[in-house]
Amino acid sequence: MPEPSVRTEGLGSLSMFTDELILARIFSRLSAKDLISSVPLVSKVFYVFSNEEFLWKSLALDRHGGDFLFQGNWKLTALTPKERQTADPNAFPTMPTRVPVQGFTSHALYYRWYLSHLPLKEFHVDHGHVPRIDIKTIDLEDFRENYDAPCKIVMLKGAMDGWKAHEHWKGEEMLKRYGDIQWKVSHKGKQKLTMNLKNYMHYAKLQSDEAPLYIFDSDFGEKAPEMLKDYTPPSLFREDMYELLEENRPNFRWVILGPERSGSPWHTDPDGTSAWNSLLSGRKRWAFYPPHIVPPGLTLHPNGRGLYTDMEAPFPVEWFYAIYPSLLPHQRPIEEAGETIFVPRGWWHIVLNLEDTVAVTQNFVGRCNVRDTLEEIATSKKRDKDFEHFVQVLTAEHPEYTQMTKHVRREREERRQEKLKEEGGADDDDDDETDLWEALRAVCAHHGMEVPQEKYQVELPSDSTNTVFMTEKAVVKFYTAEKEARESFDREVNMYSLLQGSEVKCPKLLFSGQIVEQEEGYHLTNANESIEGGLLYVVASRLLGDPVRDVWSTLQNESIERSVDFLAENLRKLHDLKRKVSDEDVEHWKKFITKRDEDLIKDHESWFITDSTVISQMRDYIDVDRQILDAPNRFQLIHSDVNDENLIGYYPGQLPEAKLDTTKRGEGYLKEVYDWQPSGLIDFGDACVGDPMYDLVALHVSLFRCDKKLLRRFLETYGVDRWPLMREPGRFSRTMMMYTLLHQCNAMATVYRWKPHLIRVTDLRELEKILWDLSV
Amino acid sequence: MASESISVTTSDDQTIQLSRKHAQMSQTINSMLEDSVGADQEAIPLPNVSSEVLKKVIDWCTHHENDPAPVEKVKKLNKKREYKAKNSTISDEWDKNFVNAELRVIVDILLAANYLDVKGLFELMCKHIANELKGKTPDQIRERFGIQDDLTEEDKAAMRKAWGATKNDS
Repeated sequence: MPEPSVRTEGLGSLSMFTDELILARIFSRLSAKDLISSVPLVSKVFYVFSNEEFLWKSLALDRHGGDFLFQGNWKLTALTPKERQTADPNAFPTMPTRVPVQGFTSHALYYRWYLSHLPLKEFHVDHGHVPRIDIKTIDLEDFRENYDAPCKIVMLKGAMDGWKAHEHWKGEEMLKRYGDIQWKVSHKGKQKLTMNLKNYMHYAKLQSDEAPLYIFDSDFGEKAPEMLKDYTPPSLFREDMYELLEENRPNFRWVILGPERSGSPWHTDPDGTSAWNSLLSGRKRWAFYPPHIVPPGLTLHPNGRGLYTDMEAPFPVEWFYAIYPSLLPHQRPIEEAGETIFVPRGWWHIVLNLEDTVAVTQNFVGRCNVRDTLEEIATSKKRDKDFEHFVQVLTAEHPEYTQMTKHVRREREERRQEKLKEEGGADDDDDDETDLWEALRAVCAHHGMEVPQEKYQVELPSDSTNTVFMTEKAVVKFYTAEKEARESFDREVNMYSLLQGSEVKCPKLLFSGQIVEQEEGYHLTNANESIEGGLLYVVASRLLGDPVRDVWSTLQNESIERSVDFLAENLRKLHDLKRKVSDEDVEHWKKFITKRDEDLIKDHESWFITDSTVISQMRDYIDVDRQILDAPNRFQLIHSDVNDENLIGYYPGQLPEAKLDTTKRGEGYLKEVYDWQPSGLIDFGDACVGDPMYDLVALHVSLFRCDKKLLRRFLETYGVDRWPLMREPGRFSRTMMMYTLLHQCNAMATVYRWKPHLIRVTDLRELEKILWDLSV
Repeated sequence: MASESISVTTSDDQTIQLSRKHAQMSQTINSMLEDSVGADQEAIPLPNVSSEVLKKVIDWCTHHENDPAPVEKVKKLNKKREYKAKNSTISDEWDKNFVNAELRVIVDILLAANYLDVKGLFELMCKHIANELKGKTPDQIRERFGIQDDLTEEDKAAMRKAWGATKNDS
């Protein structure tokens, strides 16, 4: 038995529970009457708990709704009838003298109190990693190219010039103009709450809540149409295809008012919309996570996107207090009064107000995110109607989106078919993988490697034609693609033997062979002869780190430039590996290209990616014989799929031997932790003799996200003289565009992923210029 | 292939079998199962739960095995940051009977439901305890939960006086 204490004696059997549990799960269900007339008289601890402000906040809102004058604290507000409430702090009812309690401390109570009083006004150091630009210095095309399409956060200055809101939405003036409106207020409870501005401002001034009530009103334009004349959407954000939905469009504009510590919890904007947020007064601290990273502290709904289920997802002040230090500097900008932040589609964000703030925000669907919107509303069956309606109005107004809507619809159908299949026959589902799991263990054992015991010890990289397992130190690849197994195995093994003596940074081939399942177990042998039922495999060393795909959008310029140079040096070495190419190799390449050319129209039509106008131009545009195959002196060894999954790298902080000096502060420390370093290239299964220019396709559209600055840098580091066609810019861009269309990996889909606005460009020559002409 | 029953070892070293469906109603066990896919099915240790209490938890899960999953309910709440625990009505007759147990058992089931993260059961036990406080006199509460009266008569008089004026308003 623990020694009797004020707590154990005062809680009895309940002392088994934490203070937070007792307060938030049990006492939260009691009435005001219980909390004043019986509970406090039970014991000292009960008395202390019965005074907890958050219990009374909830009771006050239950009793008064939004129709109350805050009486200095929630308990008084809850217990004072509306007609006796006063706005004059000197006339507030008096709190009875507290009964002193000694010998009881509570971390839970202290934590709540601390968060409620945490001063934030000074919490606004901005490292300036999010670019700040004057809206007058950037035009729409630049903005799309550099921020909207690549999903980059940017802070705009001067976007609110001439707004009447600067005067009209301020203190007394705002009260005078809009004081009678019932504003929608967001809070932690379930009920809908509205308050008038006078009562809200009175509350905001006097409160000390951990998560203050927050005006977040989507109907201000309907309730007070004159407010719409107080601001105009900044010039960069006027295109909005959701306007086509007219009165059916979901909520899209909000007036936001809130004091220090108020804010919005983690969320992504609905329907793939992007947003702008203009701050009229105060200061907001933002934090961001890229779309594929769920912010720590949240759990995503397993079936849905963008929804979290964690019922206790931390509110902003708590999140910033507890987890904030794990953010990179460019993920946590400060928005100052007079600034407008651009929030790209899909990014997770949370906002914490550091002072009293007034802001206006709108979500929109521009040409860079219309695809995201379509995909998002296509995920839910319940929204099929919305989807069809939007497709209809969109394609009526912009026929150029017809292909895209077909593509999204087809993907939706495929997903649903797959789901049906899964539900139907879940049993056969992972048999394949289970078999190979045993094969993997047999291979590891045979070669004296550590045998993985549990499945979680290995990773399975996603889209790959063959089956790949990654253990801590090695990558084991089974050639499961039936038809081409032997061919791609031979190619990869040959390639490894070429690479082994080179300086190209890549994995080392450790073992190769084939494995046959026999009655008494697995039989392993060399790969020289094809055996009935034999499965070919290679084992290569594992490079340090992970594919650049997931981190690319968050890398700093320095890391990106370093990666570009790294690619240039390593690809040049790779291209040079084979001094002499055989006629057979060249024939093989020619056959490949001819086949790609034959399938060209069929493939593009079935991909539903490129507009039919563009497809109709392809035949005349591509001249394989004269422009592509007639270049014998260009043929070299190529990788043929240098995409963003095949460049591996790491943060120095991930290194096993990394001993970070956490006492260091500031940029130097962050550099050590976050400065991404490329470690090498992987996947040589498609390597062959071909035109090195073919390698530029995946490199440019996938890795460089179609950023010509990076391509230029790449070519310069590689050596411009090594690209003979660069002397004839017209031919260079033409050839590259042809390869883009011919590429086996549906490169156009990747182009539109990073440059969604290009879907509007229906002339191939224009596309060529935008994507590949290095002089513009 | 995943087997249909799961073994767990309780604090008193009993090995108990429960169906996969019931095991998955505990978010804690469910995560353990997800984390160890493919691992040999060893009994999951539950050092914080006795066999007596676990059997009660399984009883409850059996009765509620066809209830909609709690996540579905949460979905409706959408962006509400904190699910507020306010209501204390217990509507299910079976549940009413279930909570009619010794306080010691109630406390243990609540602790187990919290540890195992069986949301519906946890809610039920919290509601039940709230109901044991609601509308009761201080004496009744102290007696029910074995609480020592550590307030002086002077303290109590001050408390009674404090909110006397507002008492009737609420």
